[in-house]
Amino acid sequence: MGTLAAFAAELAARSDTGLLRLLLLRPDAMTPPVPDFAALAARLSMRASIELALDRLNVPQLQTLSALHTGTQSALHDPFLTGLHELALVLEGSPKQKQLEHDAGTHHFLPLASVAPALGSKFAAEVPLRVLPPPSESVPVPARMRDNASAGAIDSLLRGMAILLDVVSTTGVDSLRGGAVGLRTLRMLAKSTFMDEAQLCFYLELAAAAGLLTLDSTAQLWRVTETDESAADRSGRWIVLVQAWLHNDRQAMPTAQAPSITRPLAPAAPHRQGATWRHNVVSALALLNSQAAAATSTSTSTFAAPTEASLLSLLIWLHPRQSEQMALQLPGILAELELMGVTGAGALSNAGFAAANADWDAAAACVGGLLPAPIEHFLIQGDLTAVAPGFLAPTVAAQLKLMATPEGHGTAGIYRFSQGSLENAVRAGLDEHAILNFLQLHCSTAVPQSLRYFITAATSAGVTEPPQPSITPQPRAGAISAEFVRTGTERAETMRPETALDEVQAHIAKLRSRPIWADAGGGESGPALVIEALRGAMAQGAQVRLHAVDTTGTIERIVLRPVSFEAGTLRARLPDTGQERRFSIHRIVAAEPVQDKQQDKQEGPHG
Amino acid sequence: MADGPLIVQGDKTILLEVAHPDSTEARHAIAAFADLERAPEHMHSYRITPLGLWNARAAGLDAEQVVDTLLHYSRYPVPHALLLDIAETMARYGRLRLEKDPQHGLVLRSDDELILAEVAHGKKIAALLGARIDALSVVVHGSARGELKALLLKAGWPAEDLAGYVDGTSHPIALTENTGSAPWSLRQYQRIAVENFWAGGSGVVVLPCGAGKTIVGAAAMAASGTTTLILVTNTLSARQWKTELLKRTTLTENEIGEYSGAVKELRPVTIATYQVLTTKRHGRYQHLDLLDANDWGLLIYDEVHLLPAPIFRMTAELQARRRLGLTATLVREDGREGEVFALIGPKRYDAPWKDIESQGYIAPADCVEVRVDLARSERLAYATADDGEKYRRCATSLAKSEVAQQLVAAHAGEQILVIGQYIDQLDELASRLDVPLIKGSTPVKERERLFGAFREGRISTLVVSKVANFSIDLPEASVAIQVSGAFGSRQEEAQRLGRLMRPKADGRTARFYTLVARDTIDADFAAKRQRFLAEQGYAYRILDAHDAPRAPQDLQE
Repeated sequence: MGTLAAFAAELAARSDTGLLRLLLLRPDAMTPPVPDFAALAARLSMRASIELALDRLNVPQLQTLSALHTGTQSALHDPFLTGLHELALVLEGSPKQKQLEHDAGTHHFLPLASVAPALGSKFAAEVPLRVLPPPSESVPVPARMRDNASAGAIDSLLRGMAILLDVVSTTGVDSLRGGAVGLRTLRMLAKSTFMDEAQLCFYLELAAAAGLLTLDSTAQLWRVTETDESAADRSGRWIVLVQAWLHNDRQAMPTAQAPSITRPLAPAAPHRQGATWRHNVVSALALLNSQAAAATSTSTSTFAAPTEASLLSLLIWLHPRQSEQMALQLPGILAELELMGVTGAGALSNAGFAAANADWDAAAACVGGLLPAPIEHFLIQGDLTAVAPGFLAPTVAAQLKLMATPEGHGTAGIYRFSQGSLENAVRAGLDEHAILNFLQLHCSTAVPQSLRYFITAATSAGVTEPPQPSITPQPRAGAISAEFVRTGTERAETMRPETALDEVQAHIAKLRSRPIWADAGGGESGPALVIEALRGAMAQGAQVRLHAVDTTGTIERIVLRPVSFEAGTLRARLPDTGQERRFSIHRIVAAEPVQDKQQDKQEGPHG
Repeated sequence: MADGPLIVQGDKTILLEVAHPDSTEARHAIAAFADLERAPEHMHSYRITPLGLWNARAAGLDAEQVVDTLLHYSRYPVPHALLLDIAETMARYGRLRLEKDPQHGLVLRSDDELILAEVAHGKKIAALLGARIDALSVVVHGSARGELKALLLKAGWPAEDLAGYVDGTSHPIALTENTGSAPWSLRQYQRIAVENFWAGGSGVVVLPCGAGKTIVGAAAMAASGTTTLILVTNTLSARQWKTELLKRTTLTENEIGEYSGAVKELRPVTIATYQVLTTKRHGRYQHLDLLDANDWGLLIYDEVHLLPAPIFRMTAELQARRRLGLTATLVREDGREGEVFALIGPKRYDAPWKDIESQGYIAPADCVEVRVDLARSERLAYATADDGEKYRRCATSLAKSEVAQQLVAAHAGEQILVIGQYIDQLDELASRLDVPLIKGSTPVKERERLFGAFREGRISTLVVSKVANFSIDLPEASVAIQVSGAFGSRQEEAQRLGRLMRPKADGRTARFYTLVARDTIDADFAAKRQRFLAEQGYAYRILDAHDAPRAPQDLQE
């Protein structure tokens, strides 16, 4: 088994490329940055970090790792071991060992002691390896159904989000303690945004994740985040939302199969793995998509929508340690993907595929091709409705809304004029000339005589409230656009691989500039070394000299034989009497082996 | 992206752009499963309802065809949830079937035990069911066929009715098309309406007033060739039906009977009023036997939107007979349109009024709202009146009488109807204009005489109460002045306009004036009333009273 000292040395011996890959795969090891390789080894040996790394492993990788720990030679496969080594879950043997083992025709990797407790024994007995993923089952989806569903969902998402933010911008959303939205508020909001509650909950969560909504905890109110007023195209907005979704650590939306009693925007329990689950599902879909595309070669008239059961089997094979959570989360994640148009009728859309591969330029191009261009005109009919036969440009829509009430929901915008709505326009500071000018500019049909009559009646009746000095209708949708742009750029940048690479490379250079044990066993590596020494003693039944601080601050030095760790305490027995002693781990300052000090000196911090 | 004429909205409405070159084709394609809701000039709107989808299934259309139609004609992506909903809804039709069993009579069958169990669990449905035959079928009480169908529809499991219709007593009837001194023929839309009705078995035909619904009824009778019971709103209407049938069919005077308060004749073709059927004496309906008095092969419900509640229940028991509902406005102020569909049958034909107008079969109409100002004393009375009195106060303003008089003068020489709700107001108007008044208390004979004189042009102006709202055929009436109405009743508005819609000999545009008191609830009600017509493409112009025409030369065409 590799010791911490050996692990630190092995990490230091890795190439820059190897280290880069490791730190990209296990970013928690860099958060916050560590001062030297010893601390890095200690960080990577922490249970929480190892658990995260193990969560990334698929079934044959876990089987291989278990086999390495149990010494089951028949289940060791080099390709899997190489992957495990990249993740620093196994150690590469020293050159001398390598030579011997290579000569013997076997592997040259060593298990890492700190991995064993997190790994457990679930996969230990599994031979042979389940090298291949389970076969996939899917439903054929005609291309036009997929594209229709995806484009419809994208359009709906952008429109719905704009409506939601527009409504919230005027009234805010009342919240309960911590930010949760209560049922009554939710129902009222659903009514004013023309959405069903499930969809609304998802939009709220997504808007908050994208930073478009902010909780004003003093007023207990969710507000639209203040932004500058520049505009963004709709594909850019979609990308911002999808990126926010991929980074969203909260649970997936509830579904009929997986209902939830949690209220939307309720404060989440810490350490949720929502982002990992979401990322895993999208990656699995992209994997199946590529496989299906390879299998069918040129046909693009039909796509495959994997069945939920089949996708779950694949995800369990890819990430077996998350199987329980994945079974719970998958229905919600799939529903979310459908609501965002990442999938259409269950099959990954072109935009979704590009997003899964983080090819945002391609994603933007796909979305741009699906969405109709904004129009700037509408028709007015004798029943006093204005109908925009498509997506009305937000600036025009915002002005029209000042004088007519929106009706129904869908791609076409429908607005109804009435005496009341026109009086509202007058109250907002518009006069007859401004209204008629606007209609002349944007209405592609004749303005009905009755509407002209109402406009004159409303404007000549005078305003009941003091008029505003001037009115330049500020489209709420424009403000949203600005928000999309701002957060979008920032978020996109934090996600850009080059940025992450730069940071990691700088960190590696810093590590290289310092000795392996620069911190001399202090910092994070100190306690890790103590624990390692104690584990080693436990395994060999050896004695150690323990330095522990008692409640008065006095350091007690005592020779004893460690037995086990239990709930943050060390159980040990006195070698002479066999009497049991317990020490809180945080009170142990050092543990020196009583025998074989020579080796310790060679590999230890001072070596 | 396709550039189709349809825009399918997330709220299950479909917008049809009238000016699009493919709009006619698309309209025919969606008519099979979506109901026309509004038909203003540029964008018609249709609604997809479960009922519409089930009717489409009954007519042999499947979900794939419906989805295909929407995707084919839609300009933008169709909400996927809507497509799933369509497939799911249509799949529910026919899971339950009403069949005739040689041993058990009428039975309800299903291919799914659980569905049968689910519906039979409901108290109301259970009461209509008899003994269980096996896990998949149960006996149905013979008279419960209609009610059961209505309840199953409500429960979301519409039954496919395979029990068939009784033939009724044969009685050959033929149309007198292209014969006699005044040859006539069925218009294209009338022919399609009858064909749709006949193919579907039972159902409702919606046509604007003046578009010849009676002729559709006559053609349906000819197709049926059986004894027929026609239910109408009043005695005058019954007589108009009789006249029309004598003119359009081979039926003779002796073959047509009137069954009203005045006369009780039972003939192979009997025309009865709703009123006589619903008259109760000693707690029971006296004349219900009429329904069973003959083995009717066809029942026609004129003005089906007015069908009274007791007739609903009777109809539920008449499900084995073919039923045809006729109406111009399938809007019921009581919101029971659904029951009409469930009990009479689905809508079999509907066309935008403006389409029929453009073909020249109904007169073009110009709708004008004239806004009058209340006198100061009237305004004070209005302001201090109780809520229940407010409408009467503003609706009966003297200012309206003055404008009405002015309009009558402007339209001198034309056939004018002045229509109102309140008898005092109508009395005042009749005496101010010095013209006859027809109201509820006017005897039928007197009404017939006055309407006859009006038709013949011997009287040019009539003041009428709501008795003239329906079914009165006054072909040459070309101006109507509405001074007050039944609050916000949309169908009353449509029916009143309907009095003017028979094409005029000189092709003149009909004028429909509505007098409205400014800044009162009269204006609110008027807006509500006008909406139905505006949605049919009849946009209102609004004039102030001082701008209203005073003399013939003020009229603008």
